[in-house]
Amino acid sequence: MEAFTTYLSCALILFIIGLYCLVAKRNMVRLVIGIEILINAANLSFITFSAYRQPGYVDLLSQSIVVISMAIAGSVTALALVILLNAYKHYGTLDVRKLRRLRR
Amino acid sequence: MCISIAGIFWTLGAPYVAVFQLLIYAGAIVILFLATIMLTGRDGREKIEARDILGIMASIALGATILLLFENIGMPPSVTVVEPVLVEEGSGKIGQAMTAFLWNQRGFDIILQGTILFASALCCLALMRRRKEGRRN
Amino acid sequence: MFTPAIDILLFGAFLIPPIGYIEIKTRASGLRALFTTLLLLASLAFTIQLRNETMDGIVTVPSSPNALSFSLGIDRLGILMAGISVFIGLMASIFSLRYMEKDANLTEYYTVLVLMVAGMMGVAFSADLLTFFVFWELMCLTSYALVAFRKETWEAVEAGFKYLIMSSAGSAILLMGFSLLYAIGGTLNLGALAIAMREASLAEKPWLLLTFALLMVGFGIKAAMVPFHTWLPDAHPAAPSPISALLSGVMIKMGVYGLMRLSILVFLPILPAWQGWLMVLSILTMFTGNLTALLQTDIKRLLAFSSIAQIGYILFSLSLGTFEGITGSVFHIVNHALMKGLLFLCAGAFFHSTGSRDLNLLAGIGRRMPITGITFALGALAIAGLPSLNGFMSELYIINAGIQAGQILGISLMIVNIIISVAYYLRIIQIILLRKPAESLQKVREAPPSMMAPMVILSILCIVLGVYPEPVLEESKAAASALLDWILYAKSFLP
Repeated sequence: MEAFTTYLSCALILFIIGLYCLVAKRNMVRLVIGIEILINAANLSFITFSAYRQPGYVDLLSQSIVVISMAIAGSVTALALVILLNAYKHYGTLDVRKLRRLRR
Repeated sequence: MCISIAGIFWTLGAPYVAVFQLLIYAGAIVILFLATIMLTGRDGREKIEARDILGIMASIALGATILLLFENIGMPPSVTVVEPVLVEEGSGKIGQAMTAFLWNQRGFDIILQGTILFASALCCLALMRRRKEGRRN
Repeated sequence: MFTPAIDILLFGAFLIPPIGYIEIKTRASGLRALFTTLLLLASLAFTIQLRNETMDGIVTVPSSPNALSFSLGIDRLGILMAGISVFIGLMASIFSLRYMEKDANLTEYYTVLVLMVAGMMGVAFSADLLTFFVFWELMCLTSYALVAFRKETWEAVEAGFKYLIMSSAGSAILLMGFSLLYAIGGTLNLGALAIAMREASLAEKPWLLLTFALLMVGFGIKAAMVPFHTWLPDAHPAAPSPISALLSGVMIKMGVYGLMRLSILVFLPILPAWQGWLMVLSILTMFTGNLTALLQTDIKRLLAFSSIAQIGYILFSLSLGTFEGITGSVFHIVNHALMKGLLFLCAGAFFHSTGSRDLNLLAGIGRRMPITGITFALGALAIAGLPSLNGFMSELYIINAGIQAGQILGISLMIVNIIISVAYYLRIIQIILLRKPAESLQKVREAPPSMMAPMVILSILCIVLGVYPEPVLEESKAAASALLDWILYAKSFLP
C-alpha cells in the first residue's frame, strides 16, 4: 500500500473516531475533544493532498488553509470550554445527558 | 495525538504547519483542557458499558473495511485550472516561501482570522465575568 | 481591504469597546446601540451602492493587495443575501436599544452582533472557499456567544453548548468536504472549481458523491435540515429575541446559501445523483417542522419549528434544480427573513412586557398591546400564506416551479404541509388576539416606540411585497440566473 493511501486512510479513520466520540461520549469535555479530532482529521487530509498533488513538490495553498483553520479551531475550543464552565456552574455535573431540562 | 500529527506534518513536507500544530494544540488547547478539568473537579470514572465496547469494535471494523477498500485508490484524478504555488519538497525554502505566500496572497484572510481571535477573546471575557454592570431581573 | 460594506462593520466593531467604556463612565445610555445602528445603516448604504455595481458584472476583490487570487466575488445572489442580513441586523439593532438595556455585558453584545452581520455578509460575498470558511467561522462563533449570552439562566447555557457542539461538528465536516474539493480541483476558487468539475470525467464519481455528501451534512447542520435540526428548537428560544430574529431569519438561510452555491455552481453536472436525496430530506424537514409545531406551548419554540418547516420548503425548491426552482428558493428566503424576523421581534416584545413565553399565559395580550398584536397577526398570516401578503407569493411560485418540473408528489406533500401550518398559525393568532386578557396581564403596556418601529417597518414591507412583489421577484430571478451562469462567474477570476 503506498504511502499516500496510508496517510489518507489515517485522516478518514480519525474522522470516524471523531464522529464516534461526538455520538457516544457523555462527558462534555470529551465532546469538545471529539470536535478537535474532527478538525485534525480535516487538516491532515489537506496536508496529505498538498504533498501528493505533484510528487516532489508541496502546495502552499493548503498549508495556509491549515494554519488558518488551526487558529480558528483554537478560538472555538476556548469559547466551548468557557460555555462548558458556565454549564458546570449551573448543573454541577459534566454529564451531557443530565442537560435535559429543555426536553419536555 | 496532536504531537504525532505534528510529526506526520513534518514528514509530509510541511514544517511550518508542524510547528504551528505543536504551538496551538500542545501549547494552548491542551492547557485549556487541563484548566477546565482542574476547575470542574473529577466526575469519577465512566463505567465501561457493553455499548461502548460494541461501538469501538464497530469503528475498528469500519476502519479496517475502509483500509481494505482503499487498497488501490490513488489521488483522485485532478484537473489543474489555476497554477498552484509549488515549492520543492525538502528544500529549506519552505518557511520563507510560506510567509511570503501567507502575506502576499492571503493577507486579508489573516486579518480576518485576527478578528475571529478578537471576537473569541471578547466573548470569553464576557461569559466568564461576574455580574458587573447592571443586573438583569 | 474587502469591500467598504464589510470593512466598515469590521473596523466599527473594534471601536465599540472604547465607546462602551465611555458610555459606562459618563452614564450616557444607548450610545453603543446608536453607534451600532449607524454602522449597520452605513453598511446598508454601501451594499445598495454595490448592487448597482454588480449590474455590470461580478465585482471581484483580490485576497491581498497585488494578489493573484480573489477572495470576494460579489454577484446578484450575494448582494441579495447580504442585503437581507444587514437589513434584519439593522432591525435587530434598533430593537435591542430598549430590549437589552437592562442586560450586563452590552459592549460585547453589540460588538459581537456587528461581527456576526459582517460574517454573514462575507459568507454571501466570498468566492474562495478559504475566505468562505473564515467568514463562516466568524459568523458561527459569534452566534455561539450570542445564544449563550444570558448566561445567568440555565436555558441559554444548555442550549448554547448543544448548539456549539453540533454546529462546530458541522464546520469540521465542511472543512473535510473542502479538502476533498481541493483534491479534485487543485484550488479553492469557486469559479475554477466550477470549470474543474465540468472537465472532470465521471470516472471519479465516488469521490464526487462522498464530497457532496459531506458538504450536504455540513451545510445541513447549519440549515437545520432533518435529521440535523435538533439544535434549533433549543437555541432559538434561548437567545435574546433580536438575536433569534437574526438567527432564524438569516443565519439558517446562510446554510442554504452555501449549499445552493456549491450544489448549483459546482455539482450541477451530477444533479440526478443528489436531487433525490435532497428532495426526500426536504420533505421530511417540512413534516417534522409542521407536525411538531402543532404541539408547542412556548411561542418561540413554535416559531423555531415553523422555521424548520420553511427551510424544508426552501430546500425542496432548491432540489428541483431548475431556474424557476432556484428563483422560488431565493424569493422565499427573502420573504421568510422578513416574516420570521417580524414574528420573533413581536414575541420578544411580548416577553419584554410579561416575562413569559408560555402561550397560556400570553392569552389575549394582543388586546393590551394593540400595535404589537396586529403586526404579529400580520406576520403570522403572511407565513400561513394569506393571499396579498408576501408569503403567499413565494409559496405560489415554488408550487408553480414544482409543477413545471413535474414533481407532482412533492408538490402535493408541500400543499399538505402548508395546510397543516395554517392550523397552528391561526391558533396562535386566536390565542394572542382574540381571547380575553387574563388578570395577570392588566398591567401590560404597549411596547416602547424604538421596539415598535422595526416591527411596523417589517409588517409594512410584508404587505407591500405581497401586493407588489415584482421588484423582489425580479431581483430573485437575476440572482438565480447569476448563480446558473458559471461561465461568466469563472471568467471573472481567471486572467
